[in-house]
Amino acid sequence: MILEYAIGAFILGGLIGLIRDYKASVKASSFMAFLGSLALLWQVYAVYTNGPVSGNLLGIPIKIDDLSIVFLLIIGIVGAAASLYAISYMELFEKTGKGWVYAVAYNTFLASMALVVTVDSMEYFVMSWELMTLSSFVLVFFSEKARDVNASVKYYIAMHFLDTIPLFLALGTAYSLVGSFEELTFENIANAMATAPASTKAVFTALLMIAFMAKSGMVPFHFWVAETYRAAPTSVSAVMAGAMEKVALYGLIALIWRTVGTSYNLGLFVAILGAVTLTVGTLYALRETNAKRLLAYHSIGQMGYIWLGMGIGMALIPKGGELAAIGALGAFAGLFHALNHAIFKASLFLSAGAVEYRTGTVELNELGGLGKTMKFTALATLFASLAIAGIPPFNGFISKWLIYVAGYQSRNFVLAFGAVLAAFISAATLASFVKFYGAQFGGEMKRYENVKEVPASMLIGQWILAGLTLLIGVFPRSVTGILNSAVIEIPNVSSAPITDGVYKIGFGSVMFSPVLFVVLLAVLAIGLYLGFKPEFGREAKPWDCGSTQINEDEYRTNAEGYYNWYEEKIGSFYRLGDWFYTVGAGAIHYLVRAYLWMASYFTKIVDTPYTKVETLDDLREREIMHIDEEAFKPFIRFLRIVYDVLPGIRLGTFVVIALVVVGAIVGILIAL
Amino acid sequence: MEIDAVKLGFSLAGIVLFLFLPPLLDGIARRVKARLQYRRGPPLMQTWYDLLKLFALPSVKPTTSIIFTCAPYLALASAISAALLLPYGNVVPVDFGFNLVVFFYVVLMVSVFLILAGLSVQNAFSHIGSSREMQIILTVEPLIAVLYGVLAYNAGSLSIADIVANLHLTPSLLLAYVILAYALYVEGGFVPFDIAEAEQEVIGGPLAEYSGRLLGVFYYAIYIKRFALLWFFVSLLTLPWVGPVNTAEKAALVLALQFLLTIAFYPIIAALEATNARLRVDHVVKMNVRMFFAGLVVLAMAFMGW
Repeated sequence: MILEYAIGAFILGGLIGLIRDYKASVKASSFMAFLGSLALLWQVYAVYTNGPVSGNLLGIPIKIDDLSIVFLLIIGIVGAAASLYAISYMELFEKTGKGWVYAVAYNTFLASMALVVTVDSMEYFVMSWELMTLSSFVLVFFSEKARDVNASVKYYIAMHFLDTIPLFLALGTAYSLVGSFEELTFENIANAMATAPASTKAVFTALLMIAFMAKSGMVPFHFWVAETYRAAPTSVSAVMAGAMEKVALYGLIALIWRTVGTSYNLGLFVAILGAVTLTVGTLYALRETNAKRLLAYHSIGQMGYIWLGMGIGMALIPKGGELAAIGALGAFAGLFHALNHAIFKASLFLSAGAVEYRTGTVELNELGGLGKTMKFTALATLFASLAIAGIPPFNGFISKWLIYVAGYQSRNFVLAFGAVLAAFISAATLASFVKFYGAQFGGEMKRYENVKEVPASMLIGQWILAGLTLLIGVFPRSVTGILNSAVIEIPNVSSAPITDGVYKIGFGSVMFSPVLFVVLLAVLAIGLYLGFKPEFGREAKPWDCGSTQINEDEYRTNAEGYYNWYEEKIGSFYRLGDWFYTVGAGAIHYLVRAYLWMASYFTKIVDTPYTKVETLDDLREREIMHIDEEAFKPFIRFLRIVYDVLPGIRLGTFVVIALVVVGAIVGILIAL
Repeated sequence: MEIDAVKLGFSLAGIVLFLFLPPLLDGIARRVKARLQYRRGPPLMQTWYDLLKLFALPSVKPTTSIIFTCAPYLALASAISAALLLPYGNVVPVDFGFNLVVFFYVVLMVSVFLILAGLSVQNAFSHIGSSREMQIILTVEPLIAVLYGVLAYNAGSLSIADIVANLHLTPSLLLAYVILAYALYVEGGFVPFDIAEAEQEVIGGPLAEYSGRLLGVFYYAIYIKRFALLWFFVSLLTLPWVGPVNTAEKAALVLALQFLLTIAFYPIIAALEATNARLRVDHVVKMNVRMFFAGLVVLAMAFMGW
């Protein structure tokens, strides 16, 4: 198995990171992570050409089938690009000085994700899942700023309650059915589930559903996403948004759909969840002005698209017949969008990080005019922005379009309404990314005149992904094969849902030929350009109504001002959403308080009515006591006293004490 | 081979139509507007003269941005691509995806390039215009999304060829036509929905910094886009009800019908333009959101079989 090499590279990357020098540590470990990701891609290729493999990795049962490789592909592509990018990007955090923390956590993070989608045992699935959560938590607070630490704590506690507990309960349920931890393979669970009572199935499904909803940021469990992605280093945010969210989708397919099975109602539930999430996430993103938070909200929104597609599949495939074909199309489109989303969202995060690297900020209101100095980053951002907005011929268009086709042709009002929302939200995504691009790269600003383009490794990282958005968009056939075979892995899907030729992709009579479109557009645009070459007379500054006092840097619309009217008009939507958010965030707030209360027993704290412990920072200021220290403290205290007191004792006192002790011992002996 | 010749003929007719007619239609509109205001009005070819003059003039360069220079050409290419995807008679000149979503997205690309062009210069007026254009799209796109739903449910497919073949007349379809007309009117950016390019307010919006040949190319793209939207509406209005178009003669008749209807609709549009004042951004948003809710009712009706 090639997976062994990948895991080996990740382990080596973690170990190399232990060297002292910060720069050397992050660079070497990022490079090893890059190699590991390439090995994952190699594994994908091997399985795609030679069929599934299974085996044993350090005692962990592994089975890599056609479904796993789609997710390995996602992790591999995103991991490779982000790791390459991190080689230069991670210099930003030099003042924390803890290269080894990043090295170990980052490599563990990638390795654990690869394991989650390949292990063939529920036990190890849960373990890898926890490792993934833990290592990502460490990476989120890596900058050690107070706000980031808070975000990471909330993330971890949210994951603790919504992921760890349900997953362990589900593990217990599965164990009670199968009866042995060693035999908890997915196949055995599926067999056991087939004969299990309906209530057990429902409990198992519900528990897993909560876990996967929380991890992929479905409404109402989306509250942790924005702050977490903002806090994490951008290359890590890229991996979290690009790959980690998709792992939850793998769980949905492999653990719920394949082991328990699906029903029309469950599918409808997933689809509605997706439709609601895509609306909420994207409309919240629309009013965001922090680049990373904006992207985070879009991740929520795009996961909504993916779940909508999957939901259509889960609802319609059990119905059979013609509808099953549309259901398979929905599942295909969802999976396709997962891959596409991983690519363009990671690319966007990397671009935002590139801007941060050179200007030190991700606040869109402060940025502008970078298109002139950071040309390649600007173009990569433009590509990825058009891709996420679903503009042809980029990859996002194809998968979104297939989701629309599945939704609109489902002959089901709820699913069609989901498609209506999806098509509408696509416009909102476009609006948001017009802002994202325009606010950073549009216009010309004196403030950023001397900004330089980012180093080559960061550019390559961005362009691997940005190039793929166009490549997959124009030649969807490059990935439809692997996706088709993954969808066939789903029970009750017998044939590939997509008809595609070299030039066309489509479903039934609804076809699109990206190649033809691109050729047509390019020929027309280039022909027109050459035919009517632009002639420039003179150069002039932009017209500012003859003003002499105006600050040219401010002569623009800042990110806040783009869609004021629209946001005001849908204000009641935001108020409703805010209310839900406060409920979720409030719950987490009190959970955090409970954890802090427990933690406060492990610090040196003078507990007076005036002592306030509200955030982790209040505790961090105090001296930390360790559990072992706590247990032995009384004994040590006694020895210390003895040590201090003994030398000062007078002979008479000593004799008296000795006599008392000897007398006591003799007395006890007599009594016995 | 004969069929191919017919196809080629219709395609050429279509290409000539969408290249030549759009500015002429604008000329008609200008004449109608003038007559409504008791003016004599310019000759019908005036818009063509304006365009030709613009093509001959060099542009002023306010920025070094590449997008600023390329956007007009990309917009025009998108507009032409959209027009090539329409049925002329029964012939689609270049069929790269004859379905609703693809058509509307290609039309949308004209606006996208317009918006990007506006954002590429450091000019607050351009930026405001771009954000207004985006807000129009943002509010009209849900309407179009609803229409996909009504048409796809009515005909069972998103492919325009299937829709034309299988559409059946129901009350919801009639209402869908009304909403479609409204949506296309808004998307075309006609008065009172011309908030993005509002000359008197934001000196042309995204076009504020454009001049000379580049401006001409942009105008031409916008005219072709408007033509494409109108032609799409006319096609959807005629093609489903004339029965299968098998022969070249019938196709020619249909083409003539499409052509005449297009010409006939333009004075109506011009009259609407002449008798309305530009709305404020919030009014547009409000109206479109209202129409969206009306559209949802129509969608529900369609699914109930009405």
